[in-house]
Amino acid sequence: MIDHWIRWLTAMDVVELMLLLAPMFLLDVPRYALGTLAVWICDFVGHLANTVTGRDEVQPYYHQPSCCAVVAGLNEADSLGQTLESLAGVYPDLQIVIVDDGSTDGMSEVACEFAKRHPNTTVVRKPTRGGKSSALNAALPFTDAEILICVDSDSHLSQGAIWEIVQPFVDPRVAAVSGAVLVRKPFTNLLTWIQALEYYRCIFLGRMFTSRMGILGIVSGAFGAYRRHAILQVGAWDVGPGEDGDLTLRLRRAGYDVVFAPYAQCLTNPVQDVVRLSKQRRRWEWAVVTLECRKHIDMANPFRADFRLSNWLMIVERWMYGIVLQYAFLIYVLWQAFHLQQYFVHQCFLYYVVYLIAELMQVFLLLYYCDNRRNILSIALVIPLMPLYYIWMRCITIWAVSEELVYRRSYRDNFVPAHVRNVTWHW
Amino acid sequence: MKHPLPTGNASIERRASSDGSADSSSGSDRTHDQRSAPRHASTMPVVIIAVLLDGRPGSLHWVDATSVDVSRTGFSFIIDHSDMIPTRTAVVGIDRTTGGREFSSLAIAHRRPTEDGRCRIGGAWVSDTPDDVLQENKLRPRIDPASLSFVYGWSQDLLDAWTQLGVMRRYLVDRVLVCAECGSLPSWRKGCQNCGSGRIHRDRLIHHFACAHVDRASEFERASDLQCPKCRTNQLIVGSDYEFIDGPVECYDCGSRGGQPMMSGMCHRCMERFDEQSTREQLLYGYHVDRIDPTELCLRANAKVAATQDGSADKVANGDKVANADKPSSADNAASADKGSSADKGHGRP
Repeated sequence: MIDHWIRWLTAMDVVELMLLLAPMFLLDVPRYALGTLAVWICDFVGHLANTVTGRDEVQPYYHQPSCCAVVAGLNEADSLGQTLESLAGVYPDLQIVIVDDGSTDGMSEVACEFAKRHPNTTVVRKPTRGGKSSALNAALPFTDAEILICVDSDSHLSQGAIWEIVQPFVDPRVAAVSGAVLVRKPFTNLLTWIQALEYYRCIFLGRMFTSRMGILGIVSGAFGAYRRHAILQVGAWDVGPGEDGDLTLRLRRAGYDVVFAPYAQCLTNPVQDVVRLSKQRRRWEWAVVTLECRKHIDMANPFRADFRLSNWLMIVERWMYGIVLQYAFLIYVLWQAFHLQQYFVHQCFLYYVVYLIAELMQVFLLLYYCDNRRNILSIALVIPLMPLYYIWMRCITIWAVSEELVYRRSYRDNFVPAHVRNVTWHW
Repeated sequence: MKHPLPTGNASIERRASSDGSADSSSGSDRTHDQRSAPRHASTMPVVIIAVLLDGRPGSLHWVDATSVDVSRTGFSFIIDHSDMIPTRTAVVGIDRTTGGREFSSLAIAHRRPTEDGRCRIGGAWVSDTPDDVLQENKLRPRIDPASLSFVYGWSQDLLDAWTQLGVMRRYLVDRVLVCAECGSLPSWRKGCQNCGSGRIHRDRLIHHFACAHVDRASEFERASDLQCPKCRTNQLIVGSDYEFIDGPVECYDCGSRGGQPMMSGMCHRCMERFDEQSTREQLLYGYHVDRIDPTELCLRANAKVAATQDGSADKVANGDKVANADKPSSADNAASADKGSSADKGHGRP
């Protein structure tokens, strides 16, 4: 079988091979593999230059704005305590605002208990569930801090995360900083293991690349920081789903920059079963249609007064990689399955091998950027399954984009409570 | 130097004939009420603790004595020397049959030498009068309106002295938070997180469902209706378009803003404000005395005497007098002495 595949592969010339691999070269290779490779080359050369010149690369934390951590959640009594403990005493005069979005499991009591022991803590109770956006907005009247740091109630911050995430705010043009969200317990099951590597690849390396390119269009809801006056200027969070991406796009429209702080790391609990994972990813992908194709489509209009080239690049990148090339990939695979029936299995195996090589390269870059190399190598043992996982994710993307394009599925999702989604605007 | 109280088992003996004979001849010139309290004569070890004028136990604070008479109103006993009880009140302790010891105050009415050179002392039970060092309302903490702190009817030293002797038993009544500086009781209010003032104002926020905007209600108010300042939607209806949320608390005194009002205390002596953590927890104790029930004591003495009679028929046959319920006791005399009557008049004691 392998001999037959090798003979098939070596019988092709370069052009034929490139044509066969076209979907990959159009999708993942430039975006993740080549992009991150370019970033690595830049960093490596910079590091080499610093080593040669003897310049100290380690910068102290010099920027210390006033900060308020906002922890909004619904029925998170079990995990809230750990999250709050990870926030306590990690930054000078850090105000903590906990918003209980109408919980019924005693989340407020956990928060109040914490507030008794930590004086600079405020507990806000919403009488009914209103969705994550309103919960985050409800924290705004309770703080005057310069920087708002949003942390999911089931996540906890790694050491120095808040110091890392506030440093980019020294630049007044920066209105939002995304932290790196990683998986807390990667080896819980196979799905969490795969997601652990995926988060490293897509969030840690992927956002490092888009941030360097100036086209970062998302700040993680689990861990992100915002300049308070900037988000008040743009009206803060709108009704979700996709409220984090929406706010980021509005900040970019207002002329602000959005950057990524790779070492501001937050460990979160990934979903642990296939159904919930599919639903979570569909919700993420709906936002591409809702935001980039409908609500903020005019960001690509070069005749608008607030037009910026970086915004245009960002939105075109989202269109291309989020929608167009996903369908192109599907069509191309179907076309090949129809026309190259006898070699379809060979071709699938070829894709598998190329994906595997790309994944190995990503792991190599991770080893360069991260200190916890043993942990990364352990997580990387799941690489042989990653190509299959990405094919499954691609199917979910196509499914989610299609249902959102055709009948606005996101506005029927119970991520937002019915009494809110019935009165909000359906873009 | 304080001594622990001795322990002893009550023993019932027939009373000495001298007492009985003395009592048998009395009665002609006594009023009916002085005689009405039945007398029970028995012998049992008792503990007598002198009470000094300031309420403290005396330096000779315990003696072993032998009880002679007991009635509902009084008690008499015999000790070796009369000067062992130098005061006009004493605390009597008698062992219970179930274990432990009971106490009661006794106002001493008379001291009289006996034939064998000892001293017979009689008096009346006192309860809840100023003479009673064990009165209950002085042993419970109560608030002193002048100092706004908990005080007792007696000084703490005095209570400690009686507790050390085993007459009183300390028990926990409550735990209260008091001013850390002066120990007085603060008043509590839900006040400002910063300064503790009760002069606070709480804003109401409005959450507009359609755009998720949350802001002060005043920001939504227009001349005739409500309008969302973010999306400009007007004519909002509560429940279907928006809901109210408790907003931040603003302090009129210090101007600070915060989330929840905090419980803050104020000491009205020091005039200081403080939070719950800055107070001192005071353990509030009460003092308990197992009081002698004279009626129960009479019954007990009577029952034991009867039992002794059954088991000592020979002694009865020899003509020894046994105290009976109809005889007026020296304790009655002591009680009547307090009322101004002559203790020895017609009593016929040696």
